[in-house]
Amino acid sequence: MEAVYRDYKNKNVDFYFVYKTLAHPEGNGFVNPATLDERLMHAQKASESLGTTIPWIVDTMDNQLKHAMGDRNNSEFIVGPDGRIVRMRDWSNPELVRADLVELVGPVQNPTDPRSLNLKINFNQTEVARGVVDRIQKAGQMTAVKIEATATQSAAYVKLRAEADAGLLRSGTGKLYLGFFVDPLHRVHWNNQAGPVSITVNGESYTGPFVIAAADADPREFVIDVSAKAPIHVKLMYVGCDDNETWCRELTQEFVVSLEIDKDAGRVMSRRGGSGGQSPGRGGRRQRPGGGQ
Amino acid sequence: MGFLCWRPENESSPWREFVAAQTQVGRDWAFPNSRLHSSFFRLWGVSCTEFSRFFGISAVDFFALGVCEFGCLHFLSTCHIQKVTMRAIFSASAIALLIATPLNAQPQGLGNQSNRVAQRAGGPGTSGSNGLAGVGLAVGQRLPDITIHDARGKPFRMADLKGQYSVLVFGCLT
Repeated sequence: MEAVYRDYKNKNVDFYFVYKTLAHPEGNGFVNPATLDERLMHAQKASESLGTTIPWIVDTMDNQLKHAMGDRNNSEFIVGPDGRIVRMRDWSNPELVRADLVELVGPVQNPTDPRSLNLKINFNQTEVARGVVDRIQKAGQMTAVKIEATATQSAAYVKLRAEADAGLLRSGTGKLYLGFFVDPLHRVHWNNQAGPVSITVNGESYTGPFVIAAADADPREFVIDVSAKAPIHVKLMYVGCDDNETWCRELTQEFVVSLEIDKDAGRVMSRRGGSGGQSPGRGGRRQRPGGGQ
Repeated sequence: MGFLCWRPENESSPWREFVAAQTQVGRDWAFPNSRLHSSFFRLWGVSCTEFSRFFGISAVDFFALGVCEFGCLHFLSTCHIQKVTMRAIFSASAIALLIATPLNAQPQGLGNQSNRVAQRAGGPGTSGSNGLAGVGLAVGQRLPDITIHDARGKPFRMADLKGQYSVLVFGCLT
């Protein structure tokens, strides 16, 4: 598409990538942003990582444009000068876009060969250890539910993905999956030397796995039995450090989990665990309320 | 199966006699001798494929229906499994699958498969609308009047995309 853009941008054709909610969260460690600023950071990261010069526009946080234009992951549209759709596909195809523009606008002399652009995808991820904490294997089908991050003093370095089983969605009693993911955009990692992460869910305390590695960026996951009506209040307590090792501090983030299905949560492609680390971390170790670590 | 529907062979009923008669007619026509016995099933497999194309359903499904029907009729008439007949049925099934599988992979004139293949290709001069048409979008429709954001977070009105052609591609990091 970059090649098509470079050929037609001087022929009065505008190109835009529309940044939307993640289709496959957890891919390359990325998780859905919690705020507009973070989604803008995602778009910036995409631009840098893909090496493209096509400008990005960013959908609203409630995904209005995505919903209005078909709810597809990689759809494309050609809009005419009158603001009406003249071409649309549910899956982007740059070759067909070029053919359409030849028909609508006219051919170009010496079209750009995409291979000559030498674009390489480079996510430039953190060098902190990954794959040292075993991933939880969920039993049965679970569905992503909506989460709201409440205001915190620090940036939302960690994102929560919550999933509920059918029983919990139907009757308020069932299993709740909580996955806490360090957002690679913020270049922060878990400090394991300060102890494992801990969470509270409606006041009940749980402790994450003990990890041998001093620092890592793997997710911390819990599958817990819940018997409660929405909303469910989740509090995460951890020690985080920036990847440049300029600061480490105790951080607390709070979330509110509703039992409403989140249709924009995307689909996780695979959850491959690490082979190292310590303790299986299956749901963590439950602590008595008020107990120390 | 023979055990489940066992009954003395000398017990008769109007339904049983009717089914037996129909089965015998078919058998006499199709199986005058052992050579035509297997040839019939081969021909049956090809016929099923052609009929399935006409009706726009999977050849395998069409043949499976035929096998089930024939098998049920046979079981009703005799109520026990005849090895020769079952061997023929399974042989014919295998042959039909061999014929039907590559044919199923090709776009068919009827049904959804060819439409999906064609629509995915899109092609110059076509709308390539495919699945988007099914969710209420149409070529000729105006862009929704929604305000999103540019890369700096400033408001960006979709309705302002006028005056020249615009290409919009939805995407994300993962």
